[in-house]
Amino acid sequence: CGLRPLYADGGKGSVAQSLSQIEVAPIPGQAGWLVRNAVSDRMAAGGSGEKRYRLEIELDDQLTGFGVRRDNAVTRERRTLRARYRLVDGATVVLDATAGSDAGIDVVSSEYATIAAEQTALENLAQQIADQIVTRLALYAKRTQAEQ
Amino acid sequence: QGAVSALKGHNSNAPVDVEADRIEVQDRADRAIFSGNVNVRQADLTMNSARLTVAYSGGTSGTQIQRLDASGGVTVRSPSETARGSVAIYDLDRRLITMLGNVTLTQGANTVNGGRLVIDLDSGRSTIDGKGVGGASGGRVTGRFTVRPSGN
Amino acid sequence: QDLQDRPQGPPPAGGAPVPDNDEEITFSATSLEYDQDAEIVTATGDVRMLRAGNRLRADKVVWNRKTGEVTAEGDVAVVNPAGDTAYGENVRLTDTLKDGVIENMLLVLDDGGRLAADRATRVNGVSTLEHAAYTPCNVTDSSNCPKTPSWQITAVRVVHDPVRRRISYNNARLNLFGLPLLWLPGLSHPDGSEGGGSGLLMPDVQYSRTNGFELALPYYIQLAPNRDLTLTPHVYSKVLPAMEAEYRELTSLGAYKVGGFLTYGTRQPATLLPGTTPAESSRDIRGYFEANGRFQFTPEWSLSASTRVTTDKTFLRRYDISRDDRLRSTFNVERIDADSYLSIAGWAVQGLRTEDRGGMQPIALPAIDYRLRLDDPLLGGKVQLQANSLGIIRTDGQDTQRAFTAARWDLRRYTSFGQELALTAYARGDVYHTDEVLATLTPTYRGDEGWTARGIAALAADMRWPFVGEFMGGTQRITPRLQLVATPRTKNLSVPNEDARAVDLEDSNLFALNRFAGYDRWEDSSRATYGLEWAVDLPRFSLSSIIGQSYRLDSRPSILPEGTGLSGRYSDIVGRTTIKYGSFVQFTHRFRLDKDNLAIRRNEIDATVGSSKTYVTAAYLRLNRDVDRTIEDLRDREELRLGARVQFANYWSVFGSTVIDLTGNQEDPLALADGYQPVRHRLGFLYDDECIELGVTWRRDYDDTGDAKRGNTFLLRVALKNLGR
Repeated sequence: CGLRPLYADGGKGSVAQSLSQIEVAPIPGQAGWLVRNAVSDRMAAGGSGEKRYRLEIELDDQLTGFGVRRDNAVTRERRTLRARYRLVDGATVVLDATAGSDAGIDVVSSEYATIAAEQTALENLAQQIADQIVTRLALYAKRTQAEQ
Repeated sequence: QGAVSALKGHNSNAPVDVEADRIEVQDRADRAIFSGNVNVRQADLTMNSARLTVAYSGGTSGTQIQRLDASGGVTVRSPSETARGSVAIYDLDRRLITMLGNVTLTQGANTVNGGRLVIDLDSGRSTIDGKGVGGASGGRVTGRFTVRPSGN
Repeated sequence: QDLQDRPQGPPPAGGAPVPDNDEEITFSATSLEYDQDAEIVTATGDVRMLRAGNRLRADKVVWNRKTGEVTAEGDVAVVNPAGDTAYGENVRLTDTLKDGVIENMLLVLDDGGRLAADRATRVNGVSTLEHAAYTPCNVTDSSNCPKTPSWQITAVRVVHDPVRRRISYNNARLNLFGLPLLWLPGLSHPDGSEGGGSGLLMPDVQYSRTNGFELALPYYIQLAPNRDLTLTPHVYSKVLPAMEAEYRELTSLGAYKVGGFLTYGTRQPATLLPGTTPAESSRDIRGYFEANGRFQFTPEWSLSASTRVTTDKTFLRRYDISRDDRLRSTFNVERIDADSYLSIAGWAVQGLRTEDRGGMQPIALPAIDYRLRLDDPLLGGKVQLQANSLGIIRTDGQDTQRAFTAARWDLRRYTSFGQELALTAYARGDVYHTDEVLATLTPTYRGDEGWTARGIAALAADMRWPFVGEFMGGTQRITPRLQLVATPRTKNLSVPNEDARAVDLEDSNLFALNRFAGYDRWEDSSRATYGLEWAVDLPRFSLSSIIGQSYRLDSRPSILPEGTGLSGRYSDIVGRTTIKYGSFVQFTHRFRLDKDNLAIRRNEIDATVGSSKTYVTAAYLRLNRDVDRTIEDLRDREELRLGARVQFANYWSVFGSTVIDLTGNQEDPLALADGYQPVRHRLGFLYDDECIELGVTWRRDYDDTGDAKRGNTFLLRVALKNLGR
């Protein structure tokens, strides 16, 4: 089935180079700060060329409770972080896709421990969302390279 | 601007004097043709145009103008309003002024334009409609009236 | 009065030259007669008149310039600048084209509402209609044949006042689907032209076994375009009435909302066993207060704060305000710019669960976190410096203060083989102070009394090697991943544990540097973590599956409790599979298998099948972790949630949902449940078209702690949409 490395020729490869031409637009809030830095760090792995593309990311962060006991007490929470992102070349949107993941959190008797676990879940989810976005951009770069 | 229009009660029998660059009289046809900056005045009504044909009836009691046909960009002015058109026919017997072709009637700030204008000097009523030759507004009459300041 | 559209429709915008100023009327017609003496202008033949934004169309118009009266006959239509179109047979207007009398009138408001009347007079823009009818609903169905509007209000007289932007009726009657239903003596509502003014909102009707019939009648007061207040009296058949208020304001810096609910009734302790009469129930004021706001002072600085407090534990459940079992109050001052993040926050929680004791709940004040990112000039990596401090106060329990500074260095490179390589170095110094340690039940959370310091260091290398290839017309991606972490021992148990209590290995934290939550515990075991990701992307189908495990290189016993999946040298196997088929099927499965016998330790399945209008959704959770009993926090559970919605006959839909607690004693020997215990069901019908929402919902709750009784609740929902709101 012809498997080839996505980042062939490493940092000098065409995929890594085109990733380094992407600039990530600021995203509001703490989740935005975390995701923006995670995505920028991954794309700077191939050096940082002059910026030709612009990546706009919108985040949606949800916290839902379930595992409900008879007395309606919630015993388990799930934090879902979803991103909708657009790669913009000049004025045209060349890629419009979504990424998302979730993390489970146990509701423990100390309420602050649950809040801290929700914060850690957000930090881990930010890394996962960044992985999904950068991989999808790399696939797009590889496909457009192949077409040219 | 509220003055009642001066057209009503205009005396069609008043003397008509005409000035023009050239005049050609066709006696047998009881007709005279003026051309070049024609200016006709009768009492306080004036009409100027490029060409004017005057039809009159000869007879024992001297010449009696029956009809004036002006063409080539006609402007009829009275103290209260001005009418413009490409052709104008002033029938003195029936006391009717008819103008055709891209007619505009302005009275103070009010203007009306259409294909054909008929001014009835007896009743003082002027009717404009889209018929007439090659009416510019395609058979429609358009106009602009200002509401009197006391307009409620 | 006929609400149907008139044949000739609204006058087209063109047709007459545009007037230069408001004092000028322009018109066009087939012919025009201008009687100089009587100053009467008569226009005939598809006459269009235009004045200061008002457009009129008629077969014949006679305008008496002396008296200023305009009479128009034959399919007359007048449009005012706001876009409302009035049709009529013959109309007498003033030459402002605004005021006058219209027979057999139909007024189509700009927002789609319609007013029809046998006779309408309009003076200075105020229209008064005799024998009128108003409806915001469509009067023609999708294939454009006339239909009776879902609801309309008929009245002897209706007054539409565009200045006060209100429509008021007297002797009005609301009829629904053609049958007269409700007599409304003095109804009035905003005409919807400008965001709506004050007025009654739609009442909520509900029957529940605990409170009997409930009628809530919200009154909305618009104090200013950016401030409003909603007062909602609630009247019950079995308990005293209650008052609810909500004030909202939009300021130049942000927005805030303050709300409350107040009543007088019997408070009952939440720990009451079902069926027994309350020993010491006290009749007292019961209430709930909430406020939240968010302000952006500068592009960097912002403040968000929210507080929720109630007088007693069962109040919110009893009056069906909310089902939350913990009310959080928090504030957060943030400064965010491209390379630094600062948060100064505080947390306090009111626990409403039966076993919550107020004094034991921690208050976090302050919780400060500052992060600064710098470029590493030497090797080209990224350095993040972090300073953090936390103060935990318990009114009668252990108090803890913590402060630490940390530095983290990251370097990401691609190798020539196409591997993503990430090197990480981490160093941190903590200082703790704690007292009243014995007040904490779980010994491993206590730490040593007084001051304790601790150092943490770690080195990590993380390698991912993504391969891409064709697969059945789409692409597939296989990504093996290996992470090596080296970290020396660190004093975990000698410092208190306030924020690292919720520990569970799953795919989101498998490759994290510290698989504990929070900062108080550091996983001080050098390890190798390996995983594989396989993803397939076909035109309408996508699948992605991750599986991973970690192996502890050193043989030191781990402080991670048995059951968290991290206690043995081999960790449990964790993974996640997500399958999407277009937007029709969405399936997510998260699992943790026991490393020895592959028994399911954690199983979470979420599946949704169907379109946005008709779908079935199911969620299953099974936690079978057998965590050691002394750690009372990580209980085991099993739960099934089902939900469905079916949309039929383009306005009708039926929906239902159920939550069943399947926890039995093989999951949790201490559990009260017996393996099948429904928590709540909900079933409802809804008729929802463009101007009315009619719904009936039956809900059955099985929660019978405190004064919440097990029983049914029936909600009737009637919402007249775009009633000028």
